[in-house]
Amino acid sequence: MKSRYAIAKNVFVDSIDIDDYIELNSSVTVYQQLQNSMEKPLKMILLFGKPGTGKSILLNRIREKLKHQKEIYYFETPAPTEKEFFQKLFKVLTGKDLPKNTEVNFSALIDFCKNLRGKREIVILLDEAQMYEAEIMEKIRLLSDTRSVKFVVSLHKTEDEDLIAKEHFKSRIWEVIELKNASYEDQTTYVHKKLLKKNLFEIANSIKTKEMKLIYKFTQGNYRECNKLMFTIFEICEYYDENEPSKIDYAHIPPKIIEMAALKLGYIHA
Amino acid sequence: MHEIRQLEEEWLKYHRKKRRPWYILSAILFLVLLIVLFVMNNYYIKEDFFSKDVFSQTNLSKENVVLPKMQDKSFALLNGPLKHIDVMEIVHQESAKVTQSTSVSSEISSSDTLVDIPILDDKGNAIEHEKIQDEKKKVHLDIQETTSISAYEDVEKRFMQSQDIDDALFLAKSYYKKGAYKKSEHWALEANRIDPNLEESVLIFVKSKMKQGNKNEALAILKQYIQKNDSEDAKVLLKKIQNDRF
Repeated sequence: MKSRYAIAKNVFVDSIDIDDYIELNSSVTVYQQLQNSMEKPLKMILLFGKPGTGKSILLNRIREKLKHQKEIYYFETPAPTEKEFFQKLFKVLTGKDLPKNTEVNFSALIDFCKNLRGKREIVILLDEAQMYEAEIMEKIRLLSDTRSVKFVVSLHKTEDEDLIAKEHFKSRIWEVIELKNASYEDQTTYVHKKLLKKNLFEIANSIKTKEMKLIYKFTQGNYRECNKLMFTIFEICEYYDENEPSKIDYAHIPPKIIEMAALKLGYIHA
Repeated sequence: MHEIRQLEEEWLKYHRKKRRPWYILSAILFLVLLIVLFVMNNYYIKEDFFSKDVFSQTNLSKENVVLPKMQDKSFALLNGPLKHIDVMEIVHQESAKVTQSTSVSSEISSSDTLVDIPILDDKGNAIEHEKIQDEKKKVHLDIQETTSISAYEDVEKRFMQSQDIDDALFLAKSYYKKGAYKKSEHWALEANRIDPNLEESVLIFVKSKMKQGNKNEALAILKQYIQKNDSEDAKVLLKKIQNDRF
């Protein structure tokens, strides 16, 4: 029989699957903010935040919600070259594949987009935009100036990337939405809701306030780190459950196991 | 999860490391506590020492130095039966104060040693002799000599209740020394009544008789005692009386 912890472990596999999306107070606010921004006649929207703050899942969520109302596209990972990026963009805009051994003429693409104004309203969600080269970003800006294509640019917030966000988009971005790490309350809700979504009530109940504070201490409210830590915790629990049941307390997750998981992930050191 | 043992070991190390500051803090607190206790202990010992030392070192007058409770001899004398009494003799010499201590022991059996009481003429020898005997016997109580009659009265009252031979002997010696020979005779007799073999009581009795001019009676008693006990000290005293050197 499969350990209950094996199921719990898989709940926290890091993914951007829309089914895994958990509605929290803070995420609902950001979602509404982004939706409102997209309604406005903005050319570009910058969505930025530290890695693991839920940018990708938010983009996926908004695409899923608005896909029947708007022409919305999600570019998950940046194309390796400029050529490939514009091939991809060409297909989105024209609905056709670019013939082999041909390249997109950028001026022609701009003209094409200008002709679309008032006819179509296209939204392109660019995830991991910090990986695009400056030249591509400049061309993206020119495309957005046609006002027929709206870009939502998602960036990691690091010191350098923050600088990019400020300098490069300073005069062009009309709306900036920042995603932050979860508060303790939000993270608690996130963990519990995730488990309850899979009917793991007993396990959700075994994570008490004390344990949750310890988890929050290690992850600082970062969703990706939280997923990683929870996965490792349940991985250890699964081992004990199957091999040394005397070492596990089903009523609550022992701090020892949380600390062992933190050691494994390098949050703390022996 | 093949690295679980390694993780457990790492966790143990981490756990020890996490608790280390608490161990250090506890050790520091314990040390501080020990130091505080040590310092406090030393402070009280010093305080106690100085409170005693002041009597011998200060030039203040006797009335100023002695605490109110200490001035009243009865306070010290009423605390249980006396086993060993030290009499502090304070002599004023111009402005300086000289304290001389004499010891009187009543614990010494007359059958063991021949003791002359310190109030005899050969005072220096007597003190020396008693000091040797008292080497192994620590001072239990220091009493400063006082002229207060009430102090002796208190001892007398206590004797009435306790019938303690030490009290009787103390009174006999003290009264003899003060020249109250009638009283010293009485208390020597009381001491002898309790313990007829106590030589000190006989000798004080004989000396008191002598001081009151009852030489024949004194000689008769002394000779009778020598016949019975063959005491060297008694013989010395007899010789002194017979040679009119008493």
